[in-house]
Amino acid sequence: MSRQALGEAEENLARRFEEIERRDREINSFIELNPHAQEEARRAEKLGGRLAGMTVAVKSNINVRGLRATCASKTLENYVAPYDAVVVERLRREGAVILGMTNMDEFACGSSGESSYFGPTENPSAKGRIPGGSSSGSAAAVAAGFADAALGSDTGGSIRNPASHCGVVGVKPTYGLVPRHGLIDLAMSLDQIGPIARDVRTAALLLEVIAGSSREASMLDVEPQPYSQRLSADLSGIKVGFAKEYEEVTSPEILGVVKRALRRLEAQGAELVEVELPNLEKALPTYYLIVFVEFFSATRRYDGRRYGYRIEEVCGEEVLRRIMLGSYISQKEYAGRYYRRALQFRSLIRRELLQALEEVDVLAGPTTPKLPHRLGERLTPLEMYAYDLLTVPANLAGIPAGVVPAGRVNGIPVGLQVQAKPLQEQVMLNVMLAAEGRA
Amino acid sequence: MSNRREIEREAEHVLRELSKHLEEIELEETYHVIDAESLRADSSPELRRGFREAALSIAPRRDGAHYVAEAGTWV
Repeated sequence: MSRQALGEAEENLARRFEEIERRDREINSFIELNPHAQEEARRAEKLGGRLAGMTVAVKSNINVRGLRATCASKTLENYVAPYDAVVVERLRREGAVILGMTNMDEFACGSSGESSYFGPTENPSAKGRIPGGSSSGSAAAVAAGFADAALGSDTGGSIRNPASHCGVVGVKPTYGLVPRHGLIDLAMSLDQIGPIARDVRTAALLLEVIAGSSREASMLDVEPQPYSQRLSADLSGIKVGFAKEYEEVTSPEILGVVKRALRRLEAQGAELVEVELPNLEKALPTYYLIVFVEFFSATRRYDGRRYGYRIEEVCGEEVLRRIMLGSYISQKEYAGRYYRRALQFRSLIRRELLQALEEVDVLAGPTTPKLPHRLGERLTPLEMYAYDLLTVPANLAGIPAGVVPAGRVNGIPVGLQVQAKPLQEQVMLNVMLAAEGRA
Repeated sequence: MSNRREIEREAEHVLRELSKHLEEIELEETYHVIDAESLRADSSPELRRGFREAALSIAPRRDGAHYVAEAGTWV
């Protein structure tokens, strides 16, 4: 960032706070604002760094020292984080200013942004519709222009789903590329922290700052890569795969937008290849059976002794349902009927995805099978889970996946999802860059 | 919670529906094979040479070749 731009960090922050003050009562994207942001902006101006003065909002399940990591729950309503998550430390080191903690589905259990203890979030890009979840507040804050970028977490699509519904860019990195130390887990074998931004370049910059191995976290031993410097929209020689199974599960209006986006990629030099994912529909039950068990296990620490309330006494319906299911499956698992079977399917789905990615450089397709519903509309749990059908395979396989705006249906944003081989974030970002701005 | 019974009922339905989809395919049982070439037998400890010297060198209190962890006193 230039010297002149550095001088603008405080102004940038003031502008963001003004906007939040003016419009967030309606959108409800923040749970808490950082009272030290002004001081941090001043320090960032002096220190510089790759993100100098950039305002970043953080999902309420990632620890930021001195702010509440509530997970949008009553259980952790008053839990003040005693340390910075590794990703937050890295943001600060590069001059980012933490704006505050964003709203989300309670304990990240949701795909709509409606299940927060602090009330639902409104979609700034499609009034009256859900913003998607669970990183609802992070995506909404970026879409509303409250923050330059945000951090979210993605267990089965929680970054990509709201990015698609709100018309912004979201990236779920390869499992193990970004340290999870300081993230309050939903399902630890699937969770990843990732960036949400208005454009691919900013998302790439944030990713290169937060990625790479860390002493504190058990993860892949990888060096950070300068993704933003190596971005290229030239797709010559790049093979883009489209699975025909996407057509069977996606609504026609979303498919129309996605196919137009694919044709634009083709016009920029990419070769389109049809691939097969015969077990695509099995990914959803596989994912949920694993999540129920891992979530149940993760919530046993909320027994009312260390963290305020006993979770079962104060949580919302979806959280309770998942705890019940996790508890039931764990008791019945001696027969290997649910969890072990789900793990076997997980291997099958991973193998299938990696095989498809042997034939092509990336897979591109829809992010969600349907458009976001109206806020307050009552859906059954299975109808709600169906939003995740196309995003969970990437989590099960541990591969990177990103979403970039592709167009609109009746004014509602639709995102193109791009998936790549493990650690091939650069190719994925390049394809996203090519798709960007031509929606 | 007043609608707890309702949530339980929905949970049962969810489990039935989800697990049904995973019953259709017969999967092969796979096992993770551990390479046991460098396995140490319990009866053959690997002694770390120099460990005693290293431990003694950082001991806050020592008595000859012994590390003083706690000194009893008459009360």
